Amino acid sequence: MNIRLTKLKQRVAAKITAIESEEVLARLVELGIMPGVFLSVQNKAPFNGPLAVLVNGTKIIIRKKDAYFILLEA
Amino acid sequence: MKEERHQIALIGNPNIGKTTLFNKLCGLNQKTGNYPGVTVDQVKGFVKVAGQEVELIDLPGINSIFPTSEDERVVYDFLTNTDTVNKPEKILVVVSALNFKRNLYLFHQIKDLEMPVVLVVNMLDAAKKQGIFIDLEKLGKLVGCPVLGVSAKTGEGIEDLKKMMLEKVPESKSEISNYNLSLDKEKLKAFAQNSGLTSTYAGFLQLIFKEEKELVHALSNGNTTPHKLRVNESILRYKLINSYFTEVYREDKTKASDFSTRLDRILMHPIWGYAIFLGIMFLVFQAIFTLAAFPMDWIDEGTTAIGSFLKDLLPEGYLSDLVTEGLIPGIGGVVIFIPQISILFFFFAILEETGYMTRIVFLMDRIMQRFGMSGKSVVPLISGMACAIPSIMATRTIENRKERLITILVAPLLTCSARIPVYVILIALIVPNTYIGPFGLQGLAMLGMYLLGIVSALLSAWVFKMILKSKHKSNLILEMPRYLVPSMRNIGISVWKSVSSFVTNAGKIIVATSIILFVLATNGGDKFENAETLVAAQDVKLVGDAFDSELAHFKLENSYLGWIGKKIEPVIKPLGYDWKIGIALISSLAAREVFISTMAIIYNIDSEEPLTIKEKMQREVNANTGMATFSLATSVSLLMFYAFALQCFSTVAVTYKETKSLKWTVVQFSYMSVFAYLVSLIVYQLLA
Repeated sequence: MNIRLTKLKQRVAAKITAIESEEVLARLVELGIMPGVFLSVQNKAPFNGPLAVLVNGTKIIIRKKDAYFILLEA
Repeated sequence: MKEERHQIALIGNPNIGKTTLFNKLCGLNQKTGNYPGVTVDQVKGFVKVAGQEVELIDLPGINSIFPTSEDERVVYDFLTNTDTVNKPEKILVVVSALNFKRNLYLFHQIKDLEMPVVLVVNMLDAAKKQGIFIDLEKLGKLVGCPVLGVSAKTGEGIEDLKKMMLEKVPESKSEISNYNLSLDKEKLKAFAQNSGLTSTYAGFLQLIFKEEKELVHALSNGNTTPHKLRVNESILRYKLINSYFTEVYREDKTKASDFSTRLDRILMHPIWGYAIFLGIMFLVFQAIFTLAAFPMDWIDEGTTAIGSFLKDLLPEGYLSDLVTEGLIPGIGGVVIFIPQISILFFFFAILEETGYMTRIVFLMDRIMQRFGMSGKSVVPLISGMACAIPSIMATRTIENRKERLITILVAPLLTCSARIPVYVILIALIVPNTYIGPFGLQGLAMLGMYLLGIVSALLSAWVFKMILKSKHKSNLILEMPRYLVPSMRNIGISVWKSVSSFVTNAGKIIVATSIILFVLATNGGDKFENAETLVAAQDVKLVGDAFDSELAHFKLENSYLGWIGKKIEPVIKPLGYDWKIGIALISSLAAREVFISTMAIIYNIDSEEPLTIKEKMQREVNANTGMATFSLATSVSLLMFYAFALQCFSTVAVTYKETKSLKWTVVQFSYMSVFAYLVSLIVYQLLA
């Protein structure tokens, strides 16, 4: 079962299975966000603001609308 | 024999202490930029190694060679330019031990360009404290490049790095041909050579950067697209890094401090995060007002004292008048706000150095989107509180064109440091210097002006958001640095660079306008030439000091400067200004801070007594109303005018340069001028 990054609970690590958006794929992959990698959501900004995710020990800010396209192994 | 010129470039990810390293190496021996603040272009510096001078170029931080915004474009152009004269002798790729895997990605990209590359692993001291160990010797063997470990902060390894600068480094070996990219390798190589590029990878980059769909189609027998190539390259590159990473990198998890994580839980908290952000901003502006007050008083009194000292010393005559009544008050007008600007830049440097700025981007992104901007707009807008010029240049980091344009258009509404001296003196005239609890009333008034700047910038942005259309989608994908204790040396250099470039820039304009104003104020037509007889005829009872003062006033009114002021008086009279303020408005069209020096010059010429500018302004009487010129209504109206009008030629020029559009430059100037006039008009009419 896959879940979307926007649904992932805070501070729980999960493995990326797919990134559905062509548009941001290249940028995400360059930052090390790609299928097979583990990530966790560290912080959430209020009112549907961006997420701060932890990948390879680095924190990265992603907007919710882009996070929606990142699928994780639940 | 031709003199050998050593030119070395520094490249690396953002926030890895690259600029700290650059400052450590060059100290103050840098070519300071034209404008204070954030670096979005290359900065040059010099370092002496064994008697030889090496030129260092610090390039903006990037995450990948592929540019996604204007500032990253600078590095791409620098690395892929085919002009052999400007090729650097070596490239130092700086990576942080704290962010090692991510940073190696960029290193491998640059290594593929087949240039003399040295890998510099920075922040070793901080890494050790967090339980991170890197086997540099093994790393060097694995990547086939010279590898050096340094700590820019403690100075560890700096001497070795300097020695390396003079050593010969072989060109790096490209790994791109080992990647299974479904491109015909021979054809790709031929394409790069035919395009005059120095490496196969440069050819590969060009295919993707220029989106050569048909070429890629041909080179891969229809197997792939530029977009797929870019994604595949990244995946393969991380695979390569992963293949050796565990051999060189060891992290002792028991030692690992999650200080950054814990701090983020507070500073990025949905409620506390915002409260702390507001608190920090409030503190910064209170500090500017209270701490700077003392040195500012000394400078004001000092300039007055120097003026009267020189007046006694120099022989009487036109030239010494030019010095004591034109130049000295003019220069004093710039020097007086050095304390405040230093404090402002000091705090900005700390916010930037500690890594807190990125947290503000995170907190503010959603709000900024409501106003048609991005979270990334916050950094330029905050630095707009120092100066609009670097602020507009800093918008280069915003990828989306519409968001960038809106940020540029509204940035000059924020309270820049050139407005500080104008606000300070006007607020001092109308707000009593009393305290309510710990808060100074004048400080609160100043804070109010800052808030006004922010609110008006947001409202204008919202209006532009409604008017403008956008074709491109907007994204925000940004790496957050770990928190770092700022280096005082770094902050010192940053403040020094900012203040000195500010003073020289403002200084040039102020000295020039001061001289022009003085000449215009001390020459005139017939009435000016025959002032003494005319004044005597006007009122025979005037003698001594009273006569001198009336004469000075009459002369100023009939000088060329007075003529100009009188000409525009009808336009500005509804705003509550007389012709003297009119002169100040015109002369400060080039730069706001000229207002104070103009006032100083006008009132110096107009009176004989050595008083500070504030005292002179308090005494001033409006000839039209017979009341104090700087009444509440006029002062507030002036405050509004200076808050909204775009009185800064440099900003107009930089907007044109960055937008490359005459239309938007005109739009910016016009909407601000019209708005300034209307608000001042309404405010004066309501208060008067």
